[in-house]
Amino acid sequence: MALVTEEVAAQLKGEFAQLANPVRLAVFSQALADPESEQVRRLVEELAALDPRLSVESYNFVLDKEKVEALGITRIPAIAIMGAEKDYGIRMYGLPSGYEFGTLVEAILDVSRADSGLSEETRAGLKELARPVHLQVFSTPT
Amino acid sequence: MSSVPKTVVGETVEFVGAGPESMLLKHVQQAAAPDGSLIV
Repeated sequence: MALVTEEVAAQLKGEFAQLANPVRLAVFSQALADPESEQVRRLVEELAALDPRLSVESYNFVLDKEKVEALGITRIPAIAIMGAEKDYGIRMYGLPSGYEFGTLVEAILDVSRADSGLSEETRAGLKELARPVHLQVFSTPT
Repeated sequence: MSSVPKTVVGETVEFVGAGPESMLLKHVQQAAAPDGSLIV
């Protein structure tokens, strides 16, 4: 049984019509240690099937260590949302349900546009940073 | 963690709730500074 209903799939196709460029989704799960992470893998695979500009790579968190390290994945379930040519470092951990499903869709569209939507003032300020900064946002799946 | 959304910037700066873009920039700049300190 599909996780994305036909009604939601139709809405998502409308959203993904806005895709400006291809987006790569890498999903990390591990069925034995975290069966629920498999739901995330299925969800991302179903999303990617809705538009040819979306592609998905599915990895096992334990077996695919090289990819885990290359993308800096620290826990599962995880989704890396990347442009065709550039990885902006966007990672989503946990099940993207409720409001966070919308966050995932927005992140996909932002990566496709290669535009964060930040103001010129903020961009200028960020260019002056003396060192890399790790940003984490914690939310609830409501 | 007691409330969300909670944002942690560079492991040293953190705040709860939404805020203007300028506030986030200020926190990021503080986290990137050599003497970045904890803000709750």
